[in-house]
Amino acid sequence: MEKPDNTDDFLAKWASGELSEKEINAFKKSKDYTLYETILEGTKLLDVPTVDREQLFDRIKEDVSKEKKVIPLIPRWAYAAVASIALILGYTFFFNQNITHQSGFGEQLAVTLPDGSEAILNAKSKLYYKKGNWEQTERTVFLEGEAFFKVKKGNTFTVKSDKNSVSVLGTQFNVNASAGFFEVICYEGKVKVENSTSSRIITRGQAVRSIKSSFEEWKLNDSVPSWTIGESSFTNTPLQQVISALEKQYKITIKSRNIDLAQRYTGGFAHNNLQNALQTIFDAMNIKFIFTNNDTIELSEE
Amino acid sequence: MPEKQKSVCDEKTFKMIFDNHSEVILNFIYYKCGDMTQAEDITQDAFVKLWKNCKKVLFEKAKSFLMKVAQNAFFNEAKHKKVILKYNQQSFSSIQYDYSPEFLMEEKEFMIRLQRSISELPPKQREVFLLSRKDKKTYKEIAEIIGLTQKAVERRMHLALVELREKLGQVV
Repeated sequence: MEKPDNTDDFLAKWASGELSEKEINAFKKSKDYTLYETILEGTKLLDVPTVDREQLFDRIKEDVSKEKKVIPLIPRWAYAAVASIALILGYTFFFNQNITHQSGFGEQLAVTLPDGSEAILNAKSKLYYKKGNWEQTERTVFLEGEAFFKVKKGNTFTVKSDKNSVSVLGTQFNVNASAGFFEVICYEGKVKVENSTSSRIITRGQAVRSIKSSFEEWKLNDSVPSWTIGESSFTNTPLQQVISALEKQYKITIKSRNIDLAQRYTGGFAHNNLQNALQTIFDAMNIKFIFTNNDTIELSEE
Repeated sequence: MPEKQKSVCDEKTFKMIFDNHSEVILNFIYYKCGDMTQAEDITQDAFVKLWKNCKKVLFEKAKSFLMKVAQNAFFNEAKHKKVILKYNQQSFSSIQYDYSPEFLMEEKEFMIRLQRSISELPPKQREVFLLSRKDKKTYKEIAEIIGLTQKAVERRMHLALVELREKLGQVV
């Protein structure tokens, strides 16, 4: 009898059920039959990862709508102008080629980076990076806002904001970067924090903050940032930052006329109740707050 | 009178194309590179490109257009990981048939070796094997997806099975 491996498509025909009964019966007698059968049955038990295709379609729609908007908005004569601006702002142009992840008000966004490292973005934060070269060169991401990083071991991993940067090899840490403010909390491993003038190395349970190019350090016991579990917390943080966190979380505007925004706040607020959050912070600071409309709040001295 | 051509630029048609073909493109690229995130990116780009070219691409050609774009994008991205399918822990013994003594190894161990063997298949054989067995595509459909003759697909399927048998038959 013909051996199964004799023709070059015998097994394909068998797997798709195209063999004649006679051929199958002969094949069943061969010693390899059970193994082949087991391979096919076993393969049934393996899973292909599933993808949320609705979300994927939404992303496509988003990309497409960006394209749509851009084209009619730029008249032909503007190209020359755009080109020269692009030259002048080569720096900005470079950013446009990056991959950007952005979270909205009150949102958190989990991002997987090309090397498998993870970043969770806090509300209204933006993370971008260059797509290529993650294997060969340094791993670098740019951050505006706050994010918690779980970095896979590998080359140096750097988080940059305008003047400051954090570099690590493989660890977990939180970065909060906004204009004039940069704060890093290390939850595992070792982290190097640099600003334009100096640098610090911190380890697990330590935190450092750079305000106006000087460093402040402190210690803490958490294992993940509290904002990832529904609460923002602060340690001796300038009020300015606390207010900005509130605004990002609840999509509100806070007006602070005569308030000293450099004063420090220690404490936290929950992400699910604005009234509570406002009371927790401002009562403790002896500051009065009034809603001037649904999403605007005015602060004044008690 | 000729029937009115479906236009890819029509949003409903576009969504229909997405619903019909996105899964096989995702899986196809995944079988090649082993990275679902990368597969998602490539699929996303392919559909965006289809939309941009919707006036030029006929409805009937949309699928092969997507496949071509996705494959090209895939070739451009050099980095590939190992394709490891998840073992969903369902019991093997729920399937009725006789094992010969040489296959009375622990089912879990067998599954792990099967996962590994599939991931070690040459990509060309693996994509055919998985499109056939996991996505239940006929050889004819696979031939269209990959852009080969049906005969060549069947040959690859055959080789994939021989290769898997050899890998899994070694240790007894």
